[in-house]
Amino acid sequence: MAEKRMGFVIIESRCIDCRACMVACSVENDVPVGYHRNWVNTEGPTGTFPDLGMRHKPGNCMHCESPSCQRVCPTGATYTRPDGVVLINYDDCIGCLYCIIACPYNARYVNEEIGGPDKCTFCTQRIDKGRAPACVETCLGKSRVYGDLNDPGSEVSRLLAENPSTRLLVDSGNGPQIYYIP
Amino acid sequence: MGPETGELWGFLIVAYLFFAGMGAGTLALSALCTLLGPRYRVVSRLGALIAPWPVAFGTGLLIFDLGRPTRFYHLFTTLEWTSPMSVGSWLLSIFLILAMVNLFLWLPEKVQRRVPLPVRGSLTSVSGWRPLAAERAEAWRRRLAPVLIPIALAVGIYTGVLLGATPTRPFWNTALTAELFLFSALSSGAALLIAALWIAGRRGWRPLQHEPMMLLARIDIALIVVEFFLIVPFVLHQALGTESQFESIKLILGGRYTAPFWILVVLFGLGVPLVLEAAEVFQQHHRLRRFGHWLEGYGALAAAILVLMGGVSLRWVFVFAGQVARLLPG
Repeated sequence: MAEKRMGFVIIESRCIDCRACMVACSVENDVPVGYHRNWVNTEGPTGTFPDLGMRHKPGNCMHCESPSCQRVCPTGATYTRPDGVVLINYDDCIGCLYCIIACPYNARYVNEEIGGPDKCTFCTQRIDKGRAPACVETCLGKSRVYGDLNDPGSEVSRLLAENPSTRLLVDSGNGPQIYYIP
Repeated sequence: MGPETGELWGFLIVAYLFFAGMGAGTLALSALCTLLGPRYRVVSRLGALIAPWPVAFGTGLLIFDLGRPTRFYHLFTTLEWTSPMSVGSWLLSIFLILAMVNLFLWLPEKVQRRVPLPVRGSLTSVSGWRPLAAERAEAWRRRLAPVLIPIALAVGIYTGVLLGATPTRPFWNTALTAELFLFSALSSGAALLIAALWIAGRRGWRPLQHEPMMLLARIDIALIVVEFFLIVPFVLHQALGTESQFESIKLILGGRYTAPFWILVVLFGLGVPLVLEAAEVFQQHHRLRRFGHWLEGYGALAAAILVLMGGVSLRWVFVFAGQVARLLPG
């Protein structure tokens, strides 16, 4: 059995763009006003009347397999936990912001309070106790799913086995760990 | 994709990349002149005395620009091979140490003797150092020069790799970025040396020496020509590359940075100084006095100033345009 590999599956058709995930994240993680660690992008409207459609793609840090933010970090402050969660060690962070420039997903922002980058932590304070990340827990359409991608029995693995999925900007070489099911 | 992060690296980074490159180029050419022999020793000495300062100043700007500057020493508690910034900060440190040793070797003996006694004393106890007699200093300078050249070139390349090695940023993400920054750094170094020679000549510190001036002008002509041949494939490959690359190069092909790039960088930073320096060398070579002494004197200085301004502009355009351009979804 391989190591744990935490990731998200997002079922786009279930997202209603309520942005409760953004609010829940900001409350849970005390995100400074004006910033968010996650987002909801909207594509469309597409088609011609009356067959119109809109798609919502929620997202956050992709907790990439080979994260470019970690590769460029000059002090090793950005690191990957054994379960695949990408985190920042603020003891080592010098605030050069190279990681923000290197992230293809704009998943990081400057937290003025610490003078350095900040981003989604996969709510490690919650998942380590077996609870779902705040964004997942609050998602009322059940669009957001999280779990161990290496465990064939997990909900994320089952969803990916049964449905075609895509990832964002695979050409970046980052190996993002958020899978989108249309 | 999250919200746009804006331009996180600004003018301090532009200045840092310029000063570090210029200092590295200066030292590389100064060391080259040392190896070429005593004919060019005025360039060797001027370069040795000047080179560490722009790099030290630029590094200071870099630390000042950090969001958590008091933690900058964490750069030196580790070496992250995959981070150009980590490798670069080690290169800068090695460069600064060697450049300061080199500077010391080039100080006149009577100035060496003025080094404060505690420093001299500890140097003597550690390494048996004493003020170097002229021949011994010369021998050490020639031994150090072949080490200085690669480390200076490495610093010059690194300033470009820092930007180029980011697949996320299509404007930067080409191997030509590092080359362009290196040759621009060497050209800036040549320009700084030309300006320094010119000033030293005018102020009567040293008679203006035509041979070293002409050598620098010839080197700079070659460097500028190389830069042209880097810019052409850079633009072509970006324009004929992926959609992200094509979108990114539009920033200098009709977009926001078109005028700065083509006018400040290419025309006034490369084209005009190339013509001025070529005229200078041509006139010298054919012993023409048709243009009088104006071009001979002020032409060189004008070319040097334009090259330096072009070097700043190149880095300005790259740092800002590169942060606007991103990988396109899909």
